[in-house]
Amino acid sequence: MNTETVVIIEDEIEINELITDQITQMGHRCVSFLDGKKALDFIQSPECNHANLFILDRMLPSINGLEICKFIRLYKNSESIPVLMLTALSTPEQIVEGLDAGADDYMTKPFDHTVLKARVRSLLRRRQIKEKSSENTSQLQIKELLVDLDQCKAWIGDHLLELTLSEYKILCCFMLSPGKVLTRNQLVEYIQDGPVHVTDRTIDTHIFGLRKKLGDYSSIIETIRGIGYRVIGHD
Amino acid sequence: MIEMNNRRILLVQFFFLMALSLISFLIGKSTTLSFLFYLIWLSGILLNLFFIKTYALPDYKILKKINAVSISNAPSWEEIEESLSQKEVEKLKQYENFEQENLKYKNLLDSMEDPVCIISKESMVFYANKSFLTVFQINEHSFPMPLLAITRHHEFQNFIESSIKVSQVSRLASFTFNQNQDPLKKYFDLKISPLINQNDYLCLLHDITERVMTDQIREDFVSNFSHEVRTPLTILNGQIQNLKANLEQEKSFSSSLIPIFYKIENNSKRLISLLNDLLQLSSIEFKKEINKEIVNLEEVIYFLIQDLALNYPQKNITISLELNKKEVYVEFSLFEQALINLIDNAFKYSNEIGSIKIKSYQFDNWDQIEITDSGIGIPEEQLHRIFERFFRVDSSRSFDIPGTGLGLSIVKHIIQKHNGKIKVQSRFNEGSTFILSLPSQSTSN
Repeated sequence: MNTETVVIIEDEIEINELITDQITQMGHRCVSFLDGKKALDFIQSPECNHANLFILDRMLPSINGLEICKFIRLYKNSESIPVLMLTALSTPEQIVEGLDAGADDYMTKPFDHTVLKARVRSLLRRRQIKEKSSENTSQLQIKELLVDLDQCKAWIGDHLLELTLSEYKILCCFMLSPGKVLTRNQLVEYIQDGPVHVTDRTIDTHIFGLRKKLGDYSSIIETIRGIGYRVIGHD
Repeated sequence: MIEMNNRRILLVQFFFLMALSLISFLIGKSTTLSFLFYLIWLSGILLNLFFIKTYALPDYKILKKINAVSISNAPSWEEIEESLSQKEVEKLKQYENFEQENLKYKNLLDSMEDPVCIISKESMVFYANKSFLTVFQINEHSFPMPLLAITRHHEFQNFIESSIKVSQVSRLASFTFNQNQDPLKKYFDLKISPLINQNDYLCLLHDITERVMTDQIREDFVSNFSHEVRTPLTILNGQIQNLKANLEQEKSFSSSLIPIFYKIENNSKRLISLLNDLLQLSSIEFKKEINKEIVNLEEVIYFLIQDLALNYPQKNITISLELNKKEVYVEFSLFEQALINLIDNAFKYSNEIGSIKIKSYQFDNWDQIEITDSGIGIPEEQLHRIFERFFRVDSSRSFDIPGTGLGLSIVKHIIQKHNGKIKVQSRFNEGSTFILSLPSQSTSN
C-alpha cells in the first residue's frame, strides 16, 4: 500500500491526536494543524502538493472549516484533493452546507474509528481512480457496471440498461465520483437542462427509477437521509 | 300665570312713580303751576302705562285662554326653574360620572403592560395607552396620528390593513420594532378586534420579547451543549476503541475483560444515540415553520424498507404494501424521519418471523397511513404513555431491545407540526397499529 499524506485540521488536541493515531496505524503520513490560519498557509505552500486528503473540522478558531474548504476548492494546488469534513454540527442543513462548500464526505462527532478508517480508505482510493480515469475518461466501471461516456450507454455485464437521459446523467455523476456524497442540490445542478424545473423530489424519483433498473446493483446507491446519495465504490 | 306678574310690575311701577312725583311736589313750592305740572306728569305716566299695557304686553284674554287650555297640574314657574337647574345638576353629575368612568378605563388601560391603541378604518390612531406611548415614544397630544407615522413599519401597517379589510375578530402575528433609543429588539404578538361600532378597531400588542429571548437562549444552549458534549464523547469513544484494539493484541488480555469493554462501548453508543435523539427532538420543537411539498409515498416507503431491513438480517419479516393514497403533502425530511422511527420500531419489536403491513388511504380530508406489525404489542395500561419522552414499555426493557424512549415522542412532534394526529391500537403479544392522519393537500392550503 502506498504511503499517502493526510492533512488533519482539528482544534481539539485530543481528537487531533486520536485521528493522527488512526491514520498512522493505517500506514499513512499525517500533517496536523490546530488552527485554520496555519492550515491556510500550508495549503498555499509547495508542501501541499504532496497532500492526498484533508480531514477538516468545521468549527475552528480564527477561520472556520467551511471557509477553508472553499479555499481548498478554489486554490489550484489543492482543488482536486478530497476533503473529509468532521463536524459536531449534525443537522442535515449543516451537513449539506459543508458538502456544498466542496467537501467530498462528512462524519459527525462522535464517530466510529472503523468508519473513519473506511471513509479515509475510500477517499484515498477515489483519488487514485480519478487519476487513472483522467487517462482514459471514456469508460467508467464499478464491478460489472460499466458506463461508456462516448456512446452514452450503460451495461451490467452484457445487459444494456435502458435509461432515461436524467437517469443516465445521474449515473455518470455517481460513477465519476465514487465514494463522494452528492447532495440533492449538486445533482439538481448536474441534470438541470433547459426550462424544465428540477426539484429535490424529482431527483428522488429519478434515483427510484435508476435503482429499479440497476436490479441487484441498486444497493450501490446509498441513501444518506436528509442529505443526498453516495455510490459505494470498489469495496 | 305670566300676566299676573306683568300686572304686578305695572302696579308697582305706577305707585313708585306716583310716590316719586308726590315727594318732588311736596319738597318743591306748592303753587298752582306746579300742581298743574304735577297733573300733566301724572297723566303722562298714566298714558305711558296704558301704552305699555296695550302694545307691549300680551293680550289679557288670549293669555287667559292659554291658561285655560294648559294642563291643570302644570308645574309652576318656580317648579320649572327648579327642574331646569336640577337637570343641569344631573347633567353635571352625569358628566362627572362619565369622567370617572373614563378615568377608570384609562387607568385600567394605562396599567396594562401591553400596548393598546384604537385605530380607525383609515389606520388613524386616536387613542393609545401609556405603554403604547412609551414603546413608540410619542405623546398623547399628538393624536389623531397615522399608524405608519408612529410605527414606521410597512409590514405591520399592511398586516393591520389586511386584517381591517376582512374585518375579522382577531388575528395573531409577530412583529419586531427596533426603536432608535432602545437597542433591544422587541417582539409582539398582535391582535386586532373590531369595536362595536365596526368603524374602529382595538389593536392589542402583546409583548413576547421575553419568550422569544428565552427560546433563543434555550436554542443556543442546546446547540452549544451539543457541541460541547460531542467533543468529550468523541474522545471517550475513540479511546475506548483504541484501548480495546490494543488490549486484544496483548497476550495477557483476559477474556473476562471483553464483556466489560462491550458494556462500556454499548453504553457509550447509547449515550450518543440519546444525545442525537434529544437534539433531534428539540430541533423539531424549535422549528418555526415547515416547508411542505408533495411527496411520493411509494418511493419513500420502498426506500426505507430496503434500508431498514438491512439492520435486521436475522429476522424474517413479510412486508405488504397497500398504498391507495399515493401522495402526501408534508415536509420531506421530517415525514421521512417519522416513517423511519415507526417502520424501524415495527422491525425492532417484531418476532424472528413476522409481518409488517403498510396501508395508505384518504378518509374525509385526511391522508391516513397505517403501519401494522405482528410484534410484541403494548400492554393496554401503558398504551396512553408511549408518546411520553423517555417512556419505554416494560416488556421492551425486559426483552433488552435497545432504544432511547424518544422515537415515538419525535414522531408525535413531527405529526403535530403538520397539524396531524397519531393514534395507536395494540394488543399485548399480538402486535400494534400506528395510524397517522395528515391534512390532505386541499385542506392544508
